[in-house]
Amino acid sequence: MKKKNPREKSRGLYLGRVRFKGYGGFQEKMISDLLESGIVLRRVKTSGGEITGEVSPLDYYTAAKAARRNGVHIRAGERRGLYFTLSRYRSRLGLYVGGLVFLLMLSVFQSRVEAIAVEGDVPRGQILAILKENGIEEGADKYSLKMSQAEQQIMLEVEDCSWVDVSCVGFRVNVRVEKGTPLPEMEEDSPRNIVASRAAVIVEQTVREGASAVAVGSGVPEGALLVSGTVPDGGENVLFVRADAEIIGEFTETQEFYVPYNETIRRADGEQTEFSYLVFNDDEYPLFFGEAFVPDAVYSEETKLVHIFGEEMPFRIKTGTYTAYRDIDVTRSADDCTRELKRLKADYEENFYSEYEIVGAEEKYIPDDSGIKLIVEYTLRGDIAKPVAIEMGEGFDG
Amino acid sequence: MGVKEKLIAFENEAARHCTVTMRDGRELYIENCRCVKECDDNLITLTVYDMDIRITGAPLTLESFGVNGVKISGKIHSLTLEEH
Repeated sequence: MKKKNPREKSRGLYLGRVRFKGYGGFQEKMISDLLESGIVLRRVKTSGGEITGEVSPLDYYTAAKAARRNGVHIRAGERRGLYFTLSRYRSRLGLYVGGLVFLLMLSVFQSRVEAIAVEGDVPRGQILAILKENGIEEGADKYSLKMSQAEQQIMLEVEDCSWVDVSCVGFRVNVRVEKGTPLPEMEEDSPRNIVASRAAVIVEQTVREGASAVAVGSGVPEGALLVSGTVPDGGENVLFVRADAEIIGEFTETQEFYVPYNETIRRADGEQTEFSYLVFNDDEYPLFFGEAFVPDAVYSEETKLVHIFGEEMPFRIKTGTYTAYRDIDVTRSADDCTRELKRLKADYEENFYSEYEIVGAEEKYIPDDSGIKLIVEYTLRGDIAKPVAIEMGEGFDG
Repeated sequence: MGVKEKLIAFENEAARHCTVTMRDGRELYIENCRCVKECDDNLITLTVYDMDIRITGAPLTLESFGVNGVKISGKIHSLTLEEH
């Protein structure tokens, strides 16, 4: 026996279908009216002045009205589907009450947290305590969970925590915590020398292991041996040790800075275009049409909690702001240029010389037609020790 | 132009185009159908924006899909476009 395809059977009329038959009138106009009203029509046929077709039970009344309007006499024929099955049991109140109670239970349980799963190598008790502080516990209202705050707190309080995800799926809260990969243990006993990382004059040295190869006050080129890892044992043999020392060297460096009198600079303070999104859990819904993009602009975003009558809503509003770049022509006086040069110099020192002691900085301002150049000759002091492993030949046996 | 007018203009613009898709010579999908002019076992005439579409075949059945979409099933013999 040929099996009936369920899709074919319902033909998109999932609630059920009513087969109708009509005659007379303007049948084409009736079909046009129904199409225009958005009524779903199935298997419509007209032949010999008779029209047959199928509509959803919910649309039959509209179809009948359209037929009357166009002078078509229609009669409902075969009725099939869920709508009519349910209608058959309409007097069985218990079924409906049971169904409603089931739906109610489902919705109540769906709105409460029933289980918390913690994944990752972390103490479950600590995670549960943090979650509780943020209103996440078994029985809590699903829509009042502060998941972002909980994530932030876990990041702060769990040691070596590198990534956290707190999400709610159905009635279950999943917490996944990833810890950073620990640094691999370095081999710390291999013999090594210490060489100069740059050309300098030695001003101070503290040798903790190995034999010093330079004297204080002497100058060394870059790469010169400062502390040797090969130490004589007092006899004919040498010992290989792991040289360890702090060698303070003094050296000079020259830096140049330049600020023009007239300059066009680009500043991100032009027109601002905002795009808002409704954020619900991990999903974002745009509150605008089109694409959220503005060329040649800086993007920043802000997410705000929404409160209505003092109650925190389960959704947030995210606003992405594009601030367009603006070209500004700047004209500086000599004083302005000097001030700007000093600022550049201070920034440079903070960024590149924070590990060194600046012993001296000789400044030379050289003005020209278009701007002022600042040449600074720095005298710096810092650790120039650079460990280098001692390469062992194949014949070395320890 | 306000949002409402823009949406109306957009809808009107979309209604000026008609898409006809035929599948295996047995199914014909016509979008943006304005009205059914004739409907018979062997002949269906539909009006779209600026033309009539005459479909002959046997036996033809008509169904609706989407908004102003018509699906015609049956063995399709010919399709004729008649400009207004």
